[in-house]
Amino acid sequence: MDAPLRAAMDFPILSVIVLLPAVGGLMVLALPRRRGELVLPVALALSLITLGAACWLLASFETGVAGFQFEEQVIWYEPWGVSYHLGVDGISLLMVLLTAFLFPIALLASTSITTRVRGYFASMLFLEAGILGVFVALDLLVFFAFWEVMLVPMYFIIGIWGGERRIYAALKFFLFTALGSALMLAGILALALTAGDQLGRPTFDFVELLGVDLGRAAQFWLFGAFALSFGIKVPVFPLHTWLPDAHVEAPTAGSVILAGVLLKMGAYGLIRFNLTLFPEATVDLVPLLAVLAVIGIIYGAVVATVQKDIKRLVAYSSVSHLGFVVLGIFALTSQGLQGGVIQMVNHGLTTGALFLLVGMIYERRHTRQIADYGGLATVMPLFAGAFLFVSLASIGLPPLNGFVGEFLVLLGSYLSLPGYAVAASLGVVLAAVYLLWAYQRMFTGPITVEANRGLADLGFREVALLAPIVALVLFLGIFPKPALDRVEPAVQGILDRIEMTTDYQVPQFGIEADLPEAEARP
Amino acid sequence: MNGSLTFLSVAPEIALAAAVVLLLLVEVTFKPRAWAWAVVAGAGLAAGTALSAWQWVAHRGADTGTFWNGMIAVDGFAALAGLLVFPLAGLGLMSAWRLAASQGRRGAEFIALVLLAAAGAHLMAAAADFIMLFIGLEVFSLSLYVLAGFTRERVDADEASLKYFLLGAFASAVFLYGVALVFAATGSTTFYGDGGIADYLAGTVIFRPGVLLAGLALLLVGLAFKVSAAPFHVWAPDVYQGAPGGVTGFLAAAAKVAGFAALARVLTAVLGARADDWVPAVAVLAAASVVVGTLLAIVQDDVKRLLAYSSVAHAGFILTALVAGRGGVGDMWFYLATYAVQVLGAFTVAAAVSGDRAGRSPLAHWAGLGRRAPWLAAAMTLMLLAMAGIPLTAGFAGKVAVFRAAIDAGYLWLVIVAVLATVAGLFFYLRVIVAMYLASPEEGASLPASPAVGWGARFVLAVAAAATLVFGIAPWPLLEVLRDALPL
Amino acid sequence: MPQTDLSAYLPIALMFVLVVGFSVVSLFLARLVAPRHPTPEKVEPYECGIVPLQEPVQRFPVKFYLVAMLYVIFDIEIVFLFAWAASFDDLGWYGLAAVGLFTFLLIETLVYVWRRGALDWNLPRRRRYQRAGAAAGDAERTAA
Repeated sequence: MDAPLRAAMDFPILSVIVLLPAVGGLMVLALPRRRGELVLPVALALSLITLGAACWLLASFETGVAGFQFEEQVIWYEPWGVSYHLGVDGISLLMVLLTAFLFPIALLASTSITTRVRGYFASMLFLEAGILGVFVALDLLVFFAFWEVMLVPMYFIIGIWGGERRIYAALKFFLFTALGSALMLAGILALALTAGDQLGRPTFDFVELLGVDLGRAAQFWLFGAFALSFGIKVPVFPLHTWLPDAHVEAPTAGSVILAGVLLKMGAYGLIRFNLTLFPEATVDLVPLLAVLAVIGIIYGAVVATVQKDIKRLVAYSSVSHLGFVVLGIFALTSQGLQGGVIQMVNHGLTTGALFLLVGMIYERRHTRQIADYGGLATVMPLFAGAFLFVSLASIGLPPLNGFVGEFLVLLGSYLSLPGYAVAASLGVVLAAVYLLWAYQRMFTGPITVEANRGLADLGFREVALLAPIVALVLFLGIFPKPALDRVEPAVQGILDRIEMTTDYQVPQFGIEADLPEAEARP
Repeated sequence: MNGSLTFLSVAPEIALAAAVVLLLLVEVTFKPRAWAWAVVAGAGLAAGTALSAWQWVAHRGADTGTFWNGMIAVDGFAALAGLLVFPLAGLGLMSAWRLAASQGRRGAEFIALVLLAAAGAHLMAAAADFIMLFIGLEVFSLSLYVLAGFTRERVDADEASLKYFLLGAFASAVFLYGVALVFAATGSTTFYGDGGIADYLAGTVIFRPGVLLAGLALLLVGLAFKVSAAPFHVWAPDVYQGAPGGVTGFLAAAAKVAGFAALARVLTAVLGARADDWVPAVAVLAAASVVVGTLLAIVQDDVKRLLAYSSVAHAGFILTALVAGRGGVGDMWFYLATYAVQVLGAFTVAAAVSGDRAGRSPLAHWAGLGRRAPWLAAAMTLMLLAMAGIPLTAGFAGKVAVFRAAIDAGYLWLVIVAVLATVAGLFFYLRVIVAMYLASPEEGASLPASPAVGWGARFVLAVAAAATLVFGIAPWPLLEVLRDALPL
Repeated sequence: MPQTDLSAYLPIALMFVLVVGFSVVSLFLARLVAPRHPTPEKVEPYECGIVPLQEPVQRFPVKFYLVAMLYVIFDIEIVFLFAWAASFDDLGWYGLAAVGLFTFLLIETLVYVWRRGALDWNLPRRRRYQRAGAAAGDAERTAA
């Protein structure tokens, strides 16, 4: 490695990425009250710089290398084994990029916020810092700190700038998430101290914990504690009830971030911690998680179909899409995991875009009822086109990005869990039903409500908001290789570890699947 | 023992007592303005703090011991208690300054009582004999009884004071009975040295421990009352709510610090050999406090009452550290120190919002505070988030510390109870935040005039916020220091 | 040390039993032995026949309590002084200093109480001791 490159690797780029938005938040708060017009530019500038740093990260990320890169580690407190340890692999790299990419868009989409503007933009930036911290932290206590602290700005974003039932939704969101994470905290502490028994000193360091041999029973309990927290965030089927309320009541940008990034934290946690730290429990619990995932896929899709409120429809579609992600993860195949990760990115882009579109129409008409629209395509052709494009991507139509993710997930899960894969493919069909039906009711036919006749089509700002997403949707659909190349080694590393520590064999094409669940099949 | 230390061992108490005498004499002789009180009280507290700091630097390590025939201990534990209690008393006075100054000539008595309470609290931590511990307890408690009813203009303040006095006297009696029984079982009231209780318990197999265990139980009950651990907490809500707003902060913070200092020394150092007997009891007390405090806090509509129940829950969290015995004392101090500052800050805000003489502080007073007084609301939010245990606040570091200690001691079930209560606790902390930021004042509701915040209160809030954030982001130096704050 | 010889306390226990026994026995004996011939005049509170006009239990002015409390303080001082005087020779200068400090604290208390007007029974005159404003409420409370 030559000197400049090493210098580049030593530069604490991850800390910078996490700190930049936080600094931005403080700057926004420090702006004088009468200079309200400066708030948005400052916030946007900081989030764009963060995006730039993330792009630099992408550029200097070494493809095809397993393990963590750009690691930073500072011992914080020896007796506890806490260290400030950051690092990224292919999976977290994509998550960081997605976060950094969506936040400037979300900020720019927040021009309708007129009350307590400084507080709003500061909250958004603190939220960004917290989320980025979650994705790059490699010390469990640091991870937990970011995980939990990020709730506070999100709580305020929903609670202060949200819709009618915002207080209820914010509280529900906060309490649900906190319930899960509280048990996770107990789990993290127990894990660190169990490790302490083996290593002679406690440690919260993720990389060190990988070397600890946990007992089988301990693995199950800890898996449960972690999975509950992540499952609430994803959300996995019976834990999803906070999601529609939070998504619907949040302001547009809040919904974009919630659906686009926050949910991914749960799935990311499942991959990062559950699969690697508790492999035995993972392998044994695959049937349970897969069933919940499939139920989530179908249930979310069915409930979305009957929604009268377009924002609620999109919210329930998230339940369905995230079900695919969970199914892909717990298929425990290379294709399934890669598909799950890609699907996380895809869902962030498409659902983020859908919430943006819903927000745009809501700003014009102040209603989200599908029945209040109809025939919009004639007055807002651009808007209708964008909506159709994003819907098709969300449904998974080739050559758009949704196709890549769903295809890989179904492929991967067909290898190990064929029955579930078949059931899950029903979700794809239902996605087409609810999204296209909603499109039909809102955009096609004659204009049924007079108030819609004078609606203006998308303005320049709105097009500028959507254009990057649309471009990325197309790019990832046609040429997903760059993303997959970066995810593949990380995924392979996780599967190798599972194979090494358990007697599970990752099924390949042409080789008989070897799952307990598969054996039980006659 | 090193004779030159004899008087220096009680130097902080002497400094405080001298300040009280001087304050009262100056008061009746010259009838000075309020700033003179501040000078005398500040000098006394500064001297007490400095002497504690000196004790800490010079004697936290090996050459510590007991003085006055085993009555007073000089060790890191006592020194740290001084370093905590005296500045806390100073902050408490600043927080209550407007109240004290509005009391005319009685203001000097108010200040004298706070100083005496601080001296008593330090004596409780430094006592090396049950008799001395009891004297400290009484000096401390009597001062607080009077402070709780100091303004004497509302019935509920009188009620609070009387209730506090009666139940407190009862608890003192229980404590004393426990002392008597422990004396009966071990033949001593002294903690350390030859023939002391620790020595006796370590060297003797007691075949019939009934009397000792009964004494232990009564000691635990008496002190559990002082720290308002459930099920001995019933006085706390009424007293916190009834006492004048300016007083409540100091009352809540100091009672916790003093009570836990005494409890930690008695349990870990004196009765350390009987840990198998008291650890389960402490664990049950901790679980009960956490659950009862949290559940009852949820249904409160008055912020001071809510904070009172939350303090019951926090007593449970602090007790959680003590199940780890000696190993948890440092964690206990961390939680205690940060919580004391938080609760003082929170009650300071409450006093500003509802008035520093007022008892009640219904949630309606807090509606829309985020707009009316953004800084007050921000400070309160920070305090509440810290109490709820959100990361990057000292509350989170404290919770991790005590949970870690308890898991290390094998009490995972207690930690799970505690984390679940933490989540339920979020609910009521968020209720206050909802009222401040998300709700708007009801139409026609009579709000107190725009919150008045004196400079003292502002200083207190700044210190509390700074401490909460600094020790939340970097708790390690403090944790490292507190590892030395162990009893002999 | 722990196994204290309780036999040293035997005389005290005996004394205790004796005292209690004597009082109980004499009270009961009087009841049993004494002749009882009650007449209406005999059960009156006053044998001279005056009919009582008010309940015997009355409210005392609060100032008596104040004096009683101050008395307790000085009573305690006497207890300490006795002990000190009994072993004056052994304690020497150290004892003198300790008792001096103790007495000083008591005198300081007395001075404070005195200068605050607590010893002045005349309510209007006591107001002189207090500054105007706060004084009014203060005096009311003291009088209540």
